[in-house]
Amino acid sequence: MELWEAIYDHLYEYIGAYMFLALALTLFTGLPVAIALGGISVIFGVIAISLDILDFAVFFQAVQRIWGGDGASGAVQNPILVAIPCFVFMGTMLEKSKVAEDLLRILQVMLRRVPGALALSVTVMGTIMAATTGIIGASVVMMTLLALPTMLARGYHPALASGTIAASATLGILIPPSIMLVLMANLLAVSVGNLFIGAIFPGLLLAGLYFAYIVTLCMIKPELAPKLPADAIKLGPTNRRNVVMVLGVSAVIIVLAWLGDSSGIAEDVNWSLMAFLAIFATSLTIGRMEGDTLLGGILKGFVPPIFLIIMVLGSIFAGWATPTEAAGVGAFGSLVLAAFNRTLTIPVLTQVVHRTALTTAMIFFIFVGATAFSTLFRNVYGEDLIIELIEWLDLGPWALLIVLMITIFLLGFFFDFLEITLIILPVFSPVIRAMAPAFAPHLGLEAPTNVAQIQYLEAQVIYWFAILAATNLQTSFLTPPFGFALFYLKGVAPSSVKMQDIYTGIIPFVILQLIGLSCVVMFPQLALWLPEQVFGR
Amino acid sequence: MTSLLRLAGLLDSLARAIGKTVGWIMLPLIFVIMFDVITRKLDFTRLLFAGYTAESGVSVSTILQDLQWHFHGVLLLLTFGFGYLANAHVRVDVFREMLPRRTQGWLELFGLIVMAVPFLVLMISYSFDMTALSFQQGEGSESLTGIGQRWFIKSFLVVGFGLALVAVIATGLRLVGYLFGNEATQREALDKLEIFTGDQDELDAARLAAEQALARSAGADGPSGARGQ
Repeated sequence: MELWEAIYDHLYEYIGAYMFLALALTLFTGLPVAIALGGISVIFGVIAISLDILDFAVFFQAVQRIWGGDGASGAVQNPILVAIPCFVFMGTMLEKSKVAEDLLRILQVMLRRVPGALALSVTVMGTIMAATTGIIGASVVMMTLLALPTMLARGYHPALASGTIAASATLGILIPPSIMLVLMANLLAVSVGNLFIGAIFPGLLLAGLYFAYIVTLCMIKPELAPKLPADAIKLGPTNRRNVVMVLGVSAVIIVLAWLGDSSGIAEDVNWSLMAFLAIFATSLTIGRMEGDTLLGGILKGFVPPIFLIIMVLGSIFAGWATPTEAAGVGAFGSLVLAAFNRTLTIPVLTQVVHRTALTTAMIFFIFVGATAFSTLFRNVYGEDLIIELIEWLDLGPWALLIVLMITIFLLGFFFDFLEITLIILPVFSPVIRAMAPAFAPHLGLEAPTNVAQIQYLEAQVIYWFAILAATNLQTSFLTPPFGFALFYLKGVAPSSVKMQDIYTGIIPFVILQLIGLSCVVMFPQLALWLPEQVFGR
Repeated sequence: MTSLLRLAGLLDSLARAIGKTVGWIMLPLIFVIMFDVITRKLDFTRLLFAGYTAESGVSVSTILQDLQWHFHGVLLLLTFGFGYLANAHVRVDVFREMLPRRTQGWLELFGLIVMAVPFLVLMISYSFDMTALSFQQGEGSESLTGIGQRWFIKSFLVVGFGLALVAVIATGLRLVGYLFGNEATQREALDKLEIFTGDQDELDAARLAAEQALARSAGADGPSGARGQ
């Protein structure tokens, strides 16, 4: 009897820990993550109920949290998360309608005088495109199929080629519009727009580091990246009249919009938006007239996706649209681009719709499983266990931050960002909130004295932490020998690319990412300054 | 055994057909968002519609905003089953792919019986309760002028988890066919199962495509040469 009581007491206290352990073991059997999460929560729910710790109402609570509403971060009644299928649709549409392919092609021509032009083009394309495929595996596969054969055919060294592709494809999870940031903001109960804007500088910093590295490397060792032969991409001569026309019409539009705005003829017309759309339409039309020349390529291949991204981010930036609205507008824009590209056919649309449905199902089934799991975990006082553990460790704020970062890094070896964001972040978030005051001086803020200030400080620390976690995860996905972005790349690469090449190629990028990460750690303003300017206090 | 597989085929095509159809809801979702943005965020059209709202007493925008997450909810809930059948759900493959395919099958079947079925059954029963409660209370939209009859959209929870269960049962039956059936049954079941990572068909196809593209472009001296406009 006494033994039984001892077991009961032990379980009563530590059932949360066993839950986590059982989850880890189940995940490694290779069952779908969502099913493992749901199954573990049911099994442990039943155990806890039979021990009289909980009663069956806990499952009702789980369903309610899955549903959402009342400002809760559920899956269904949650206007924020509507952005996710829209971003997925936009990314898939850009890929399947060959907008991405045209972009890569024209970037090569535009950058042809720079050393390592093709590698740079891939970086730019990754920055623009990869955000939206949903998971790292999918975006690495897409980028590899799109770019690797071309790079190898141009005589690029396999190491440089594969390193560039893996690094640029994972860059997408940080650079907005990014699905991971939408999920993070939702789970940490902070603003998506703010997190998007905050991620811009760190993302550009990383992209800039890649750029600098590729250019330097290719200048020192030109044999790694042969220059594009002048006749490799045949383009007709540019029609000078059209160049003048594009510039002229754009200038006229800008002047008209400025006049219209300052004269106040029609106050309820959004002049800058009208000008933006008019220039967009002009460049598309003239691009169509121009045909297959350098100018035509730029107007048809380069300008449209850039405009689309500017429209999506700019409307959030200007406070003009919520992320959900921006995502819907972006998805609509991708339809328009595909129509202009003459690739908006029924088969393409069907493919895009199915892909979007599958990716959405994948993201939200895990979301549902993770919500069930975290409801149970919270109800058996699992979160208290974690906080106790942290208190027992008795670390200073910096040591604690490093421990959290290392944990996330190690988890990134085995799990995609979905699992980590959805399972681990809710567990970490009370810890981060608790340690917020200790970081006030580092973020350049006063020690908080009232509730509003404490909330503001917590939000700031969370933005900073989310960006750190995102950068960290990205590094983790690329670190040999476990980083699984590399395995996906190997899976679809031609067999002439050896694993050894991939490993040697990625190491410089991992180092660059660590540099970027430490920059954001040391200078939190990289992530916090821009949102502050845009949204104010 | 054959009748089991036929049943599995029926269940499979049900979940798959619904999942595929419901994907098209993306298009109305996008258009609703566009319409909402245009009528609410552009000053010039906003004034037009504000006049309409004042006259009729119906706020189109609130309805549209509710409609957005209604569409989103239908999309995400009704695709769970399709996602499972098409093996779109994330797995942690590090150790799994080292196992022989039969062991993977056993693991999956065990996991389905112990984890997926109880979880989905519980979710179905509790979301049914929630829907019933919502119906009894006559729950409407929080914003009064939004879409009422909340029980209707909540019932999609039941349908969604139900379809996931249908997909799980279909896969389970095929696994039974694969693990216990005679040779012909095994082959037939295996043909329809998409859950294994061991058979690298898709990856191999992708790699083949990449190699062909490479060969083609090497032959044509530059890949874009091959891709004429």
